[in-house]
Amino acid sequence: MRSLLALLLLAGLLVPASAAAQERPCGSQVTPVAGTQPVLAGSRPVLLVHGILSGRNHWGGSDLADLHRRLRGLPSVTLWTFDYSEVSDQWVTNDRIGPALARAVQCLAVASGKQVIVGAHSMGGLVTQYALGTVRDSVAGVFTVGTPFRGSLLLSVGQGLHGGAANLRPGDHLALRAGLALCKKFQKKPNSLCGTIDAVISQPVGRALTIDSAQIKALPPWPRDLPLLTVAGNTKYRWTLKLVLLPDPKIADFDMGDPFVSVSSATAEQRSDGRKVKECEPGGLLKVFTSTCSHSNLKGRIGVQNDIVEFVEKAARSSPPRIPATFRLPNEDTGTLTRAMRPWDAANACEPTDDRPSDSARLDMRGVVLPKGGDPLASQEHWQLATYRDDATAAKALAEIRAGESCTGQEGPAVDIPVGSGGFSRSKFSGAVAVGEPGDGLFRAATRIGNAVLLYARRPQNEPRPDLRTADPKAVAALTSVVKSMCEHGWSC
Amino acid sequence: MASARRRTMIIIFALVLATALGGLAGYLLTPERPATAEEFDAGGPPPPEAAETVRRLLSGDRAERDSALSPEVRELVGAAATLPPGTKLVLDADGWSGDASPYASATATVTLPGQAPRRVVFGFERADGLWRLLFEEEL
Repeated sequence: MRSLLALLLLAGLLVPASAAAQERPCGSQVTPVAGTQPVLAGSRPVLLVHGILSGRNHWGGSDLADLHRRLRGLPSVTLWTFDYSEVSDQWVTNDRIGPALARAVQCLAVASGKQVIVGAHSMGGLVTQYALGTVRDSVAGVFTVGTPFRGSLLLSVGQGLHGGAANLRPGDHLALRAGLALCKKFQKKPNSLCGTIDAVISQPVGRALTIDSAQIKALPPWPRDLPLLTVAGNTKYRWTLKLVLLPDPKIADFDMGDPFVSVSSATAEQRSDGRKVKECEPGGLLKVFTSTCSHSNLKGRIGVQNDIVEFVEKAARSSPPRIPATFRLPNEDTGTLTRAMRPWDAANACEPTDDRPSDSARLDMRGVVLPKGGDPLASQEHWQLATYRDDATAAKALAEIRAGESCTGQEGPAVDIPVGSGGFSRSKFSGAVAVGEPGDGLFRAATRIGNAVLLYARRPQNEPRPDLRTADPKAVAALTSVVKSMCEHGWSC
Repeated sequence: MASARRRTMIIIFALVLATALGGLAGYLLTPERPATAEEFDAGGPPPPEAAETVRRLLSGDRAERDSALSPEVRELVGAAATLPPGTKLVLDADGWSGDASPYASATATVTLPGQAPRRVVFGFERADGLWRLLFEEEL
């Protein structure tokens, strides 16, 4: 009887813990947005990151229920929020902020087998920028709303800093100071923009958010190839003095941004299409701070939500599964990262300057040399994994490999390699090129899996015809392992 | 014939009523409705220097009036005339919002001669010991 009670007690303790683990598979800072959604495995995670002095409800609350419903309506999307509210008055380098987001993204990518789409509001975009320094490969795209990529002019002027405001017209400077003066009427409201400004203006995080601060400059560079949507808000401040200057009222318009973040700062990292600026009707300061283009209200606009849904849909569709940062190639500890010439190119007298279109599109190449510690140029065989930004580019690279490269002057026909012993079929490893004369050239076989090209190369020795059937079993086993592992991580195998 | 006209009149009346009610609902529900004075934080009494700013704003001497404006405001205003004599500008006794920073705002009532009083919020910045006007906004 006592044992039964003990078991019941144990079960009582375990069930909630297990349910919690299922609810929060990536730790206490990552929470699913309320509502039904598919299981994480195999889904496309969209992770919402809030801003300064905020919390997960700012992105994941009921006020954005319509956006959540629309995102969930996209195929296989699961919605999550990253919460750092307990330390949201700290700079992004805090272990519970930037590094924690990197861990969260990695976790979601591994658990889902898909790259994550990150949506950030305000400083959340800078948190994301920090995390991208280590988990770029786990991210399919980022959308930001009102992120101060270059800092906040309003905060800078509020701190008496004029360096960043050097390019401002005198009138713009006046408008920002007028905004700070109006804020005195709202600064006791903790959830208001003015309350936030008042709370952080004399804090280290407030100094970090000034224009072109050393802290912002120290962030990792934004990845140029990453699909990005940046949304900025702008309400023109229609400054007017008509009562105390009658009968000659004066009017002037100033671009105030949202007004915590200027348009140029919010879109500073946008290098291609994806820059969306929402303009509201000009008005007084009260309107500047409360319009639907203002910092806190911007993400609630229907047009912004349309942009976000369209972006997520496109990013989810165009981004094939790629190697998550946590992906480990078998025996990778024996490998070397190769970013220069391919060893076989050197062996075939190609120059680094030779035009190889697929190389310029290559994001990464990992070369693993067999046997352990061997020199790529001298080793008899090795395999390499190259990743590209999308399936089409990887397919182009594979076609180049198959066709041979013009710099070698050795056009080789694609041949099927009968590989059956390793667990992947002929169709999975269907192309090969023989380079050089049999017996003394290089022999390569390649296949594409998603946006990656896996290539096996060996230097035949006294073989009348290169044939993978005669390859070192260790190499075949390694290739098999890699292919299986990639398939398990969500490649379209 | 008369009944058809009556029916048409009823339909037109219903449409007008629906439009009016829709417009009213839209106005009341719109998120862009500007903030009102009721939403302001509670303020305190204006500092003594603010009385000097008010005095200068009401002054008939343009140079003195201009000294109550921040430099950029002065530039925007240019050679504007001074306020008509008899204008009253009264800062609310509990409408001053400011702290240690050089910025503050205050609610006030402005009454121009022959006109109804108007409620406004003024923004100021402190420079050279005086609160200088940055903006004016009617509530």
